[in-house]
Amino acid sequence: MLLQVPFLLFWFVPVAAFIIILYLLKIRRRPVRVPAIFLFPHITTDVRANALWQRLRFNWLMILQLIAVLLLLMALARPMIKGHGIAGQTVVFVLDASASMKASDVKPDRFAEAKRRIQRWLNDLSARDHAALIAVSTEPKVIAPLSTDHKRLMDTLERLRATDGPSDLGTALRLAVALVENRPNAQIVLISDGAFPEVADFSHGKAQFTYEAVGRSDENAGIVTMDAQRRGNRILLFVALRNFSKRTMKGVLNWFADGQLVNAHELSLPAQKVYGETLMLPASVRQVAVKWECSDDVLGVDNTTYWVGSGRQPVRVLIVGSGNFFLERALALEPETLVDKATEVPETERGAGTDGSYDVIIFDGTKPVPVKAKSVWLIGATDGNFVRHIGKVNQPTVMSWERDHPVLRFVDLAATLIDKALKVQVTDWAQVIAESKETPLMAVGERANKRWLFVGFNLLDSDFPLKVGFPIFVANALLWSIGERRWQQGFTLKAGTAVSLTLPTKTATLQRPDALTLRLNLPDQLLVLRETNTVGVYELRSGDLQTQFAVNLLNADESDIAPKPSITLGGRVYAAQTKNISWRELWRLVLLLALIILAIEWLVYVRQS
Amino acid sequence: MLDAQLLTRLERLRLNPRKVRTGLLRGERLSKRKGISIEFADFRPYAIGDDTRHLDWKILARLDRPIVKTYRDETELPVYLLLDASASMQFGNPPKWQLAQQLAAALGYIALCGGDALFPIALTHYESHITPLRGRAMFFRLLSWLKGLQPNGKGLANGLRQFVRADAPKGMALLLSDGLDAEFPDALQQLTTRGYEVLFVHVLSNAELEPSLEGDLKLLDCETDEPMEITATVSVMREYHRNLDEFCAQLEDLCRRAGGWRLQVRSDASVSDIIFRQLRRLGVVGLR
Repeated sequence: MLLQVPFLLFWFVPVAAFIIILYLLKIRRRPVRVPAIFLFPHITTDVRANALWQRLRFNWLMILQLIAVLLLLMALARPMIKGHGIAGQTVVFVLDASASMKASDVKPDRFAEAKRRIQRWLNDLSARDHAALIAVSTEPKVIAPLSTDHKRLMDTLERLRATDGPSDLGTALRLAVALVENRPNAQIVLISDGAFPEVADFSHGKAQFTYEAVGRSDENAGIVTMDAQRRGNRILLFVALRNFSKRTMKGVLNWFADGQLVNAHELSLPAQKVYGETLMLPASVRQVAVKWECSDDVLGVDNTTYWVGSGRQPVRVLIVGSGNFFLERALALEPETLVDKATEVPETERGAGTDGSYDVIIFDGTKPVPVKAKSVWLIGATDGNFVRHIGKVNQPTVMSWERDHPVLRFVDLAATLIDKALKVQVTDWAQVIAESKETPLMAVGERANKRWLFVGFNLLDSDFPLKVGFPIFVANALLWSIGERRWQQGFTLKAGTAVSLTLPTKTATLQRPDALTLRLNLPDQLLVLRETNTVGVYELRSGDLQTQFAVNLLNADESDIAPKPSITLGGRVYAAQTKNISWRELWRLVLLLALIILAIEWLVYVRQS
Repeated sequence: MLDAQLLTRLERLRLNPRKVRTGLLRGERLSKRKGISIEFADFRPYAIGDDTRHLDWKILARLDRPIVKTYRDETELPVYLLLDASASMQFGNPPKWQLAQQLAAALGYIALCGGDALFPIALTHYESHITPLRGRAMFFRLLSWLKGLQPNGKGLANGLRQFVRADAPKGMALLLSDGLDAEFPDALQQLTTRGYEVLFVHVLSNAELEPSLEGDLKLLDCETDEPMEITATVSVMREYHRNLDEFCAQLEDLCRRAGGWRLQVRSDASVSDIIFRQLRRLGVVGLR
């Protein structure tokens, strides 16, 4: 047993001394005259009338009072006893629900084992203990908030499933710390296999932190890379398979194109080695699946990877300028969009026409030149033709904009601050879609199959890139620039990645790889899909249009399922608990004993008096 | 102290000593025996109430002092009224002293009416020479003596021993006391073994029989101021009652062994009940 506040026991000495002194002092007695004292029994015979002190005699009341004081001080000192299980007034369970927890080295899998442990610990909690559950995946969530309703938490836990995506453990742990902030005797229990990247920013504060490791085996080889490149009318696909275990793994690597097996061979992968393989397929292939089959492999979610393409080129964008982080990032959100950057237009792309290799060339603050792109964006630049520069305007205010135009749909320019803008005149075939009092701020136009977009201010001279509508503006502009063909392209992304798509209609149907079909109502025709935690091919239909996209794990941290005896969080190393040692508080029991002693003392006093 | 009706009733009573003294005659009987040759016994000073026929006129004429002749057949019963006037007699509600005074007056009246020589003695204010009272007319002297006493003395046992040492002529000793003296049993034993016929009226009050004491107390003896610290718990009070019972039993035994009487009365008892019922039942008093 240990005491949380042991120094309190030192108070026993002065308190006990005080009690003993009270018994040493002569009791002030009421003088009473009686007819004869010789009839009264002699109780105290050696007391002198004028003495202040008397000899200390054995007295059960004194002994009981000393025992009661000792017990009360012990209760205040918060005694604890070592036990098994989780104990605490507030416990937050952080359950790793990432792809690695699907490993079957622990039957049925690590996630089920983790749930079983949580259920066992919940049974150890007392009815007044608060518990919460956080599931760690790409987006950590508080599955069950702090409450004493353990049964409800159990039910929620039972319905929980592991995902195919990676884990954002740092966010989950910070969430857990926030839940238990300022709560006494709080504990955070992380149940994980440790297959996550190091968390740099974490501190568990006053709460106790426990890392409970799950998993026994490292036997896993997974596909960590997949890429596709257009080579003329063919597609070159590349996959990398890595053996994360400490021994050679033997299996078969299969290639499927549109459901047909096109390549298969045995593979003996040495320990910790990476094997890369390429395959050339016709550009007309819509879907490619690469599968690694190995009987010793305990994690299956990284054994298959998918690629979905339309056979057409992705949207290629060239940004000509000194670099614009916001624009590049907004374009990167667009799937199947390849963005190149250059300080000047390559010679091969210069000229008239729309047969260049880029779909869109963006002149970001640079002087435009004639290009062969299908669409040209002028941002803070004028070409003298589509837009003519006539001056400058300081701090223009957006007075009006075309809310119904495809480029500005769902874009709110009302509170946009612009430091300075170009004062321009647009050509007569241009359509001004946003303007200030002094000058047009945005304009679009189409001529000779080339679409033009003009933004009259440098993006970095405004707070427009920081607005919610900016990525929508970029997506709209990109879609408007390339036309409807965008919709017919498939794309591939990593599990847990969010994707945003502007749909042609307000309703859509999404079929997931697990055969679950979601019917979506999107009043703003904008689909922001975050639940991409299931590996496989998704089908999206909206109106007459249909597209597919593939979600793959492709995460070396998740595929490296070797059990981690310790993890590093916030620069501190936490070892996995081999035994569920917990400390159970005993102060209630000790306090009860003290009350019993006080009751006995009272009874003795009443009996004597 | 005593009302007239009670006095009238008391006149019909007399003391009945157990021991029949050979040759003893009651005072009343003297008056009936006329013409009988009675042997001269002694001279003694005249006391108010004495029969003037027995005055020695010659001595009176010669010495101008009234002297009375006593005769052998005229010996009266000495009745010693031993009254406890110690401080402990103040206790009780009503005080024991009040009842003791009344009983002393009543018994004394009975003795005077019966022609007995009454020797009123305050044990805690013992005097070596006590003038006896004789005759009904001396009752007022008895009353004034009683009224003049205050229960503020001490040394009950010493006073009793002094009486015993004085070796007064044997007779009845009417002891009216609470007996609350540690040496009282010893003194009583001396009294009973000296040939006196003892009637011990043991007067106790609620202060002794049901003391309301509790808590931490410093007891002070009312006569000696001797202190004693006690915590009046249930067990302590139980022990006290046991001691009191044993004390009373000891006194009872002493009186009984000596052929005397012990009557325990409460201070709130009535005098008439004590005299006419309890003492009559004991046979201490009877009708003439």
